[in-house]
Amino acid sequence: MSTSPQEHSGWTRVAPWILLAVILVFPFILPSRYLLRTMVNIFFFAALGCAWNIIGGYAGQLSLGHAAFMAMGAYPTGLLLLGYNVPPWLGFIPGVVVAVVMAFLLGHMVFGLRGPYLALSTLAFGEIVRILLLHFRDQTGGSLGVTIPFKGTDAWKLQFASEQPYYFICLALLGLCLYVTYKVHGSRMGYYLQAIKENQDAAENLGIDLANNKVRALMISAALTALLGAFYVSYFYYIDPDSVCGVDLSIKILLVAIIGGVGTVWGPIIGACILIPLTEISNYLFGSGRAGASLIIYAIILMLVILFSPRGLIALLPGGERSYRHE
Amino acid sequence: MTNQGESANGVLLELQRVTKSFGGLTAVDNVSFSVLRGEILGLIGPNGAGKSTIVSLVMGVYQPNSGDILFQGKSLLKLKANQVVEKGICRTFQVEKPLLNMTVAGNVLIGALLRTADRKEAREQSRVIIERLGLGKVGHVLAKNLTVQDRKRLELARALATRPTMILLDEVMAGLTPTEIDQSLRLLRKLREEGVTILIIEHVMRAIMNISDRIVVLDYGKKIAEGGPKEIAHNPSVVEAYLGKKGVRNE
Repeated sequence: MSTSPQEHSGWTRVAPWILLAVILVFPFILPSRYLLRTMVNIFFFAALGCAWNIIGGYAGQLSLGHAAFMAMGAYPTGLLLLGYNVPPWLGFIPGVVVAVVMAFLLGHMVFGLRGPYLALSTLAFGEIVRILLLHFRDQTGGSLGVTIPFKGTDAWKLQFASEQPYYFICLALLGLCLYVTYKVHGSRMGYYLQAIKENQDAAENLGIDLANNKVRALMISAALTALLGAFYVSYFYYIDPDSVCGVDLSIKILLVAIIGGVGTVWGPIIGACILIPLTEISNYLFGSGRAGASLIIYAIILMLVILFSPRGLIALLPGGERSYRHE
Repeated sequence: MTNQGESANGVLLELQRVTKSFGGLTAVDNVSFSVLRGEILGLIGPNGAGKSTIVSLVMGVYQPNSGDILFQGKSLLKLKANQVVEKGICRTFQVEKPLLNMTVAGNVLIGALLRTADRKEAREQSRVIIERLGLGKVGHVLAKNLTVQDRKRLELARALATRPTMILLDEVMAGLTPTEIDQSLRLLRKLREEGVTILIIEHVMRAIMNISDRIVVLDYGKKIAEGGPKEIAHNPSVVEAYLGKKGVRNE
């Protein structure tokens, strides 16, 4: 299982840099609005998948309610901008703080549970937040949601007529999520999360504080997810409880990570590169009248991945095995 | 090294009138005994006598209904397993619990990371332990692909990596060949020389009689005897617990 230096020096070593260069110049060579929006979508879901992966992949604690953290980032940012003209790059802070505090509380409540019970309680958590957003309609706009008016390009408010700035902001957010994941992966906490995923009893009997490590992982994950929620509202100018706090969003987030490769730094990127274009193709083929068609496609992909590469598609790539840590 | 909080007679671990019942079943019934620093104490008894329950009580998996458990003079009650490990007691599991998708080296590394956050140092410490337990050849094998014997060794290796003052061994020799048992006994003696106190649960009588300084015998949750190996072997109630009393326990 050890890797020789020769293996590293192949194309797998240069490829990422070439890819990064292409991504950086892409908006200038091919400034198609549609393509750029698709790319932003890929970056965005890859970043969400990374954030989810920290708790769901590395620690193996399945969260089906991650959209709630996104809503916690999106709503305060949107409402502060709308009501008080607070720019999103400041307005995201309260949302992230709320998400981290909620992650702390939620973690201490549910991490005593294991397996399906944990998954169900996180699902319930997401639904509770969604229903609260619907209920307090005086503050949140209820099912009508929050619409941010576009008043021309204004960098202060992160409002841009062109697509390029969003492209680079989202790319930077993805970079941040990758960096945090990479840091967690290499840290003692990363090893501990992996041990927790493998066997909680064994982990605890090696001196690992289960609750502490799981809650910390969830807090990191929630902070990143809320930050992405703040980007969402600044990018789409519209949020409602279903679009930022729906179960299907939570599912899509974890699919990105699971299809790409759970417990790996790069897996969610691969997942997003597969899922998002396929969603676009299905929307094109079946039209908005059959919006559910993309869900069928997700289901088919998920089944194929589970059957043929249960650890995620990254395992099939040359050198992909190295993404997983076994040591 | 001075041992603050440790009583003068060198008691490291002390169970004081510990009782634990599950519903109507009293698994551990008013049991008291001490483990002295540096000794090897055998804990024996027929199946269901409460041996593993005692390990779980020490580790904080269960809380006793009454009684107290002291380690270096301080109560272990209310501590979680990971806190007990931090204090210097580590256990092995009767049914091994390896981290299946990690290598042998990775499993041991997780243990070593408890005392040092430095990956390099932890790796070096695990390497030494792995060699010592004869796992060198399978260091890069995933734990799920190990033989039962190697899994048993891995349990012990991982526990040692946490640098315990005391280890609780729950049937680490089950399934080993006589030669392997001899190797294990040598290793345990060596560990004791290095200052590790050992509480060992074992069904392999030859091993336990051979290695224990003292033996505590449990039956139906009660302590029925305590003493040196020879004493225990000839104790009538121990013989009765294991073999039954003629004409009385035939039902």
